[in-house]
Amino acid sequence: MLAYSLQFFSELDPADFIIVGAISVFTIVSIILFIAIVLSRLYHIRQAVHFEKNSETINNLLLEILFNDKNHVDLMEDKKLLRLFSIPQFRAQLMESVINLHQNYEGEYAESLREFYVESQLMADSFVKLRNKNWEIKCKGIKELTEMNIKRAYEHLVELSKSNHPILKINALNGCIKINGPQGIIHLAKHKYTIDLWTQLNIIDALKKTSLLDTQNIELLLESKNNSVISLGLKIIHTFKLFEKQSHVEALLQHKHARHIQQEAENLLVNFNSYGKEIN
Amino acid sequence: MGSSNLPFPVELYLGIALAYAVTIMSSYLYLAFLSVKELKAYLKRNSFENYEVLLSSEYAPFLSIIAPAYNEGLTIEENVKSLLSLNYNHYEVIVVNDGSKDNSIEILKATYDLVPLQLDKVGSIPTKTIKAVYQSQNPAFNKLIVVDKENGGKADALNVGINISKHPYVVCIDVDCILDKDALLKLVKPFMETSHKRVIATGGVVRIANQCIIKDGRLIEVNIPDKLMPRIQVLEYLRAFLLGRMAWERLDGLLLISGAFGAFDKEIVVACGGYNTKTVGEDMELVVRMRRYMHEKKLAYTVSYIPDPLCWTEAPESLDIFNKQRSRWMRGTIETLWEHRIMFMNPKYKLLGLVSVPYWTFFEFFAPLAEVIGILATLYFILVGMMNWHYFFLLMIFVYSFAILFSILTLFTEERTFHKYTKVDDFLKLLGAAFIEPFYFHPLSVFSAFKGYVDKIKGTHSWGEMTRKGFNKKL
Repeated sequence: MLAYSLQFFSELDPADFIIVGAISVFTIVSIILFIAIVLSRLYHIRQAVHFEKNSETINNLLLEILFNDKNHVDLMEDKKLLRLFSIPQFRAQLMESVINLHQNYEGEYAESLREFYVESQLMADSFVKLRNKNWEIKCKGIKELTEMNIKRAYEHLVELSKSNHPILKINALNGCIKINGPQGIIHLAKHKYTIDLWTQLNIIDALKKTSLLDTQNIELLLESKNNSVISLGLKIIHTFKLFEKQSHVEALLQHKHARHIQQEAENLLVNFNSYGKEIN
Repeated sequence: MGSSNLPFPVELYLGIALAYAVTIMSSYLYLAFLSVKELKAYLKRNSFENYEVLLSSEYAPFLSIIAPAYNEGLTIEENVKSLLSLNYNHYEVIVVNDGSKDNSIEILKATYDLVPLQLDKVGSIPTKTIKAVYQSQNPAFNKLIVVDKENGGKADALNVGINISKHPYVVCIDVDCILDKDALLKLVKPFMETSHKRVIATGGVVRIANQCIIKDGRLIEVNIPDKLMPRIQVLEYLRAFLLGRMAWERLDGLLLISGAFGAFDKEIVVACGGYNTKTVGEDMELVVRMRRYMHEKKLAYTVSYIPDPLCWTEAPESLDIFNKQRSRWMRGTIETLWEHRIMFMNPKYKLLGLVSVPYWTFFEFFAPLAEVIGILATLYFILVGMMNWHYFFLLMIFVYSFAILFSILTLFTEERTFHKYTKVDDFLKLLGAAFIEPFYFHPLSVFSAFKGYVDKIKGTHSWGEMTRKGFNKKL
């Protein structure tokens, strides 16, 4: 076949060679793409089957942890589970299930899941993700560690929040807030990159979800040299109605700032004054 | 054809035609490569985004949806309800009844309990006379404003909406489009993301909804149409939106945001004078004019594009309506390119002048003409006995195999990204369409586009009726 093809092409004149060559390339690439589509569909079907199979095992495992007080050591007595734990796909699915379940539980159940996360080395997997070169893997690691409230991760998150990658920055800042409340963003006062409105709203949303409401030093954001950080500080003060920070906003107006910052600060004061009147 | 003893003009023509074909094919492949790269990056980014942030934030941008309606009485009640139930808080819906001859306005008044509204301030874009403005007495519909005006065309209706809108961003849509529930959340995000460049417009992907199942104004089941004409248009839209516009966004050279679904920075729209009522391609013309304005004012800006399938529309199923639509698209292209001819190959407009506008001129405006010239030349060669059938068939197979390759690449991209056509039957239907398209649909589109040239020369300015068949509804 190959010999025949080589002979066929060698007998073509240059113009024919180019056209026939191009037709052959187009046809071969089309066939490859078609096969890729079929394989992609088959892969997804296989994945779904594996997922189903693993789901059953994982659900049983999590039931044991939550309701039968089993820990990782107890579970590892089962040889089948021990083998499954070494399979990356299984660990990834287990991680997702543990994290999702943890989001829905509080108190003792949440603590059991957290213990399992630490003992089963899933936490170590999350830390490895933080060191990955790809930002999206880092984000996954951040999500896992912050959901489990691993305080040790905080310093890593502060470092990652200095990134110039917008999504990694948002996730790292959200993680800082989740672990350390509003104090988790005070370091932004020294942030050098612009924090766009989308990131600012994500930070405020993360603050709304946290139960920690220690807003001490949040006014430091107003002293930043970065206008976007000042704007974030003003939005936080406004959103959480931090009346006690009013003097800092007034102080901000004493100095010359960009027009939109000036405007935002003035609007905030007008808002605070009208709230004050309503309360009185 | 193909032999070396051909007269010089013939050789020259053949050389130019070959160079043109190779350039257009290479540009398609290059744009596809860029699109796939950008799509992958977008999907990766998007998997970490939490759009619900916008639902609970008082800082989420305020939007005005403008939906022009002309003789939409049959569907207007349901369409407006679907617009009022989008997943977003800070928005108003302005329905502009553009002098409909049917009972659209009566239906709106009765359904939404409308009462006249006195406006304090109206914008400055000149428009036809507004007969009345209404708002609902029912607090459940407090986002709704209805304008009744003299007929002036889609562009004029949109300008009225812009004049009345209260908010800084306007979302211009076709009232009969089916929007994804999260469409606004996704459309508005680019306006908040860039801080060093002003985002002046954002567009979303439009997909074909024929034979899809719609319930309460929402798409609940995606299907591929059985009829060949709309089925091939599904493939055509996929190619254009997945493998074309994403690349132009990456290059920052996007010239067209579909009139069916796009958001604009109102301040810039107003500064540019709003939609041009003298063209039938008002959607493309506005984007080009806004970009030109930003360049001339030396303001940093960009036009963004969302690849998610957010807007679903009905494609023409009859040849007659298809012809009218494509003729209008071609006239719109000609009018826009002519209106902004100063930008053509003008380095002052950077990539826009040196790449985008020339690309549209050579490969969108000129392509149908080049094909017609090709057909005439082929007939001439046959008549004078100069036809080299060997090369004729070889080149035909070359072009056909490229068309198939490009369509399969589109299907592969869809498969690896949004994967909306999950049924094997649907995939096979699309694959079949890829093989039939070059023989059936392509000649029809060339004919319709050529009709656009003729209509333009004749001075036709009409839109042509776009009779909708309506979607399959699940009760």
